[in-house]
Amino acid sequence: MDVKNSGMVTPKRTVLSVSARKIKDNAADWHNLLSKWETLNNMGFSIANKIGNIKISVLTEDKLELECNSMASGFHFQKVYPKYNEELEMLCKELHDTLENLAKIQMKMEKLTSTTKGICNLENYHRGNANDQTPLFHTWPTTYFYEVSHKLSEMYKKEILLKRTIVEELAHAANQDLILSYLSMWLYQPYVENSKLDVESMLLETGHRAL
Amino acid sequence: MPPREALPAVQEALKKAFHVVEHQHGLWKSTLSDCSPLLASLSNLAEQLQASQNVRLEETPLRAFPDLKDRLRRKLLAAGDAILDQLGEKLTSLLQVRDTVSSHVEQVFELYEQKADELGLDAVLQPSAVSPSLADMLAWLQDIDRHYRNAYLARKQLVAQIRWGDVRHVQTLPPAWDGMSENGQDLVPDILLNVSFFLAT
Amino acid sequence: MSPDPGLPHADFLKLLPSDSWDRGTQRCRLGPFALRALGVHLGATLIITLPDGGSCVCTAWPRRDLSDGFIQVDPVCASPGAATGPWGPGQSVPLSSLRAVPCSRLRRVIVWPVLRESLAPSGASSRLSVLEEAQELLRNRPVSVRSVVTAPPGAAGTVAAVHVLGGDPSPEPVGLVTPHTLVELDEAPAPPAPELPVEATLGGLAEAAAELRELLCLPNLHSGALAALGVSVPRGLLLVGPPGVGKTQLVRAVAREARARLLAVSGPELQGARPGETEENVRRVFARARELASKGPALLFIDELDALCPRRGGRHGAPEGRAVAQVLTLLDGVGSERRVLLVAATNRPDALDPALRRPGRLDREIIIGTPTLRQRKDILQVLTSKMPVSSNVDLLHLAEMTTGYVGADLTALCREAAMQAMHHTSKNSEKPVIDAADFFEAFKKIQPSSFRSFVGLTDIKPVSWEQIGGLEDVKVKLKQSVEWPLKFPREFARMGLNPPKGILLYGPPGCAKTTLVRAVATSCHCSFASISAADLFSPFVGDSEKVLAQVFQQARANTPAIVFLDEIDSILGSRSISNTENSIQERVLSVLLNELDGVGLKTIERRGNKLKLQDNSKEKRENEEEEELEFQEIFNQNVMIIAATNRPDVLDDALLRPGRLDKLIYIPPPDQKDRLCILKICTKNTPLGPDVSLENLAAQTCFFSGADLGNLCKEAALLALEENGLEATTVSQEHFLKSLKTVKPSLSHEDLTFWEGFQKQEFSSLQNL
Repeated sequence: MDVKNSGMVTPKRTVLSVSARKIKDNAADWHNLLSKWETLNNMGFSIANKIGNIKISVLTEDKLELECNSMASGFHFQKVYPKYNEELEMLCKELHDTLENLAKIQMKMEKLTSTTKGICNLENYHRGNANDQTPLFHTWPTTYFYEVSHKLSEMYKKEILLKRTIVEELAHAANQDLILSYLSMWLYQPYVENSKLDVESMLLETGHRAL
Repeated sequence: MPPREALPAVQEALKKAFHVVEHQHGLWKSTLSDCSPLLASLSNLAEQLQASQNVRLEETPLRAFPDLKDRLRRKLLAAGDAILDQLGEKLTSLLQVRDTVSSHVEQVFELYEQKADELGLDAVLQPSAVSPSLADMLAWLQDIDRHYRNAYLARKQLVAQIRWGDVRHVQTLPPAWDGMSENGQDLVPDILLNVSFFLAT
Repeated sequence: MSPDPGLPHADFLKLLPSDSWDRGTQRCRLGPFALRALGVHLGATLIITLPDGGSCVCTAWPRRDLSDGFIQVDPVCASPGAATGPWGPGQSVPLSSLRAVPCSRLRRVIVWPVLRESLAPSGASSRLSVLEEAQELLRNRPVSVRSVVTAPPGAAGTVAAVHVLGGDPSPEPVGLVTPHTLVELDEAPAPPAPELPVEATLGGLAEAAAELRELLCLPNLHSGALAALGVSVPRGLLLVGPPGVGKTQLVRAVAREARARLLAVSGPELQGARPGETEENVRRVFARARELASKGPALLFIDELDALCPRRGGRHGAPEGRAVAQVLTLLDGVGSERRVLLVAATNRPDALDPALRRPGRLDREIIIGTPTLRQRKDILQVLTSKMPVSSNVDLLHLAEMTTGYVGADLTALCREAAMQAMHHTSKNSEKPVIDAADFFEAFKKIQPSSFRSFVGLTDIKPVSWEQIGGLEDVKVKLKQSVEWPLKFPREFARMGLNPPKGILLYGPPGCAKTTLVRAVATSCHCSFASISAADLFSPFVGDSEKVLAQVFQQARANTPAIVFLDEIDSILGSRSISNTENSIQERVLSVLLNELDGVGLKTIERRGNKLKLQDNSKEKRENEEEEELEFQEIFNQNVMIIAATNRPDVLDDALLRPGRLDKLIYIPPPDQKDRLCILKICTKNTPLGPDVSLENLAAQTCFFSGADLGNLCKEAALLALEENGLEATTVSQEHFLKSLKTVKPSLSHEDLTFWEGFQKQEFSSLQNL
């Protein structure tokens, strides 16, 4: 029944088709996921920051001690580490949890993408491979939603991979520069590019944001 | 005596100028205090850049991400540029303070030039119980004007010197900036203190 | 406040440095009186002529305390090269050198910015920022064409100063740069044609000056070429020379001439009491030099470096060592970045730490010795160029007389001469003119500074040849061997003759050996050192030798010089005769032999200029004269030794060899004719009776030496006084004959034959010249 409608209605209709509604919901979901990701990411950063600081202070202390009395260092190792280990372990666990939450979001993103793909396929099917690329909303062809979603989800997939590595390695890094780099990677998310812009334009297209 | 008419006019202009300075100095100071965290973040970014340059990712588990280094650098630089934009806005506010003060000081001096002959030298040199001599106050206005101009110029140059290629230099910015603030930061408050009685009359 | 005409010295304003809050404001703080006198209101433009030359443009402001009689100038805008302080205490400015000038607003001003090198950014953006800085620097300032506006020290930015080249309307004498004035940047104007070197202040140091100038200017002029050659520029220079030869003067003059910034400190000044203070001071000085160097060529001059950097590991403790190490480190850092040339001066180069004296640190060493005859003439020429000297002053003669005088001594001499002239002309208040007599009078008073510590320096009582009776052929021989080489060097050179190194006068005691030497010293204005055994011998081992060596060193520094060793037999003895016990004498002898015939001079004793500056345009006659001078100089490099003894037989043979004491002159006891001469001289001031026959006396006084004859005359005169009471007017023959009985000759027949025999033997064994 949608099919008939879709074939006849003008692009600028007020009542959305099911596909369009779905896509509109997806766009809203994207936006929510992104802000959730943002919050989690910031939380994770502050935890990672704490870990980094502990690591760096231990490193410098070690260095000092090594310089001071390299002879007695063995003795100090046992003394210094337990104190930090507990805290470090706790933080690492927290960070790990945060990562898992981020991973969940990323999973949802993938799910969204596949939904979008399904809608696209459905649309294509209904239109019978015709060259009729009438936009569901204003200007975007339906496939474009999928493309954007796909791009976003790939971005975050990569990002989650990177973050996973960071979580695994951060507590074991033995070099201040490396620790700093891990931290800035976490904060600045090198694989996430213009995600906000994409989502905002999606929102604009779907009518969440007024033109 | 002829100064009877000219003196109050000049005094009035001076009062107005000092009031303007008082107000503008508050703006100046608050703008400066807004700048400090910006510079701190700049230096922080520079440190991160430096660290990322030093690290050899191939030797870490991150080797799985070949384009990571470039991406990170790009991200960091973008963040830096954003801060620089904010800093530029702050500089514009400082420039406004400078120009406001300059124009008022200029007005006072123009007025004095007009009335100089009428005033004569005695009226200009003699301080009274509540006010420093006109000569002192005029000199102070000049000093304040010059102070703002020099301070603005120095800050502007400091910001203009920022090059992301020279990461170490960027890291030294906050102390340089703070050092600049300490330099002669008491000049304006001191002068304002000197004229506080005069302003109150 | 009404103008107070009764103010003392109201016309002269005491020059004070400007207060810290006025730095960079271009203000000139005056008292109310001066402001009224100038008739200006606040901020009016003044042109102030500075006491040390140059002028600056300022704005008139009252002093905060309204006190009169002072002036504080902030010389932000001054004529290039103006001495803008810091002014010494007691400087003052006459009110008349302040000038209020009307100041028109400039529409346009053209400036040449001078950048601080260290910070100079590149690219187009820099031009904009430089323009902005120049605008800010000039804003609301009155400027004058051809003046330099200096940025206050410590100001941020790249512009160190701007030169005002012109404008519209032309800022002549001054123009005000307003916020609406268009500031344009321009390139540096072509430097004015190089001025003639300021040689005038540097008499006789042309060679050293040339070398120093080269070091200073080379890196500037040909930096590209030097870089292409891969040559690193020398960064250090050591000036060695006795005190007062003009080391400091030289550096100052060259720095001024090369327009280099000079930072002069003296070594002892840097020494601090606290540990580490010295190093800190040294670091600060170097830092300042580097700062100066950022604006152009700079010269760091450390005077008396030996005080700062003594030999390490010596008697001094660790502090000196640390200071030396600091200097070394800084020196190694100096040249690499900027053009700081370190010039150090010392008069004790041997006391310096050897690590300083190697390439890369103090690359070159310039030795400035005591000036030679020609240099002295040059110096005198310079010194007297500004004095009203009368035409009878012969500078060459004066230069001949002033052996051993250094530049400072000559300055003192001229000053003293001027004082003399002032004394004798003070009565008649005409323009004083310094004539030769004044110089001679001054010459008596001023002793060369190198002589002041001279061992064995003697104030010779002038004795002329005529005052010595008889001994004509001896006199001729002496003149021949001492005076001629000094006075007729050309002839000696033509004949391939070397002047004798040393002369031994021997003969029986009392026969005027010492007097002859005195006459020699008088006739040829030489440095004259007389050494006796008392000067030399000391209870400390090695001291005697050192003293003797020092005597020769000083004598060489003051050539031509005569070293007179009286009673040489007691000083030296003979190695063959005296036994091991007298080892001091032996060592002294070996020192003497070395000095006479050593390998060469120590480097630090080198003097004179190898560079011959011949001006072709000069007349031939003058040329010859110059050559004559040169010959004389070469010959005058020698130190002549005159030894006297009455026991030539005990002298070491080695000493009498040619090349050492190669001229032996026998001074015989006077024969009858000589005795007559001596008697005549001895009785010149004695009123003789008409019956006195000196010829007769001369015949009777066989075996009398000159001293004996003098004694005889004295005795006779005393006798006359004794006999005739104190009213005695004449000495009669009788008195002479009486005293002849009491005064016994100091020579005997045996003595005489011994001397004659010795002389014969010498003649046969040595070729006499």
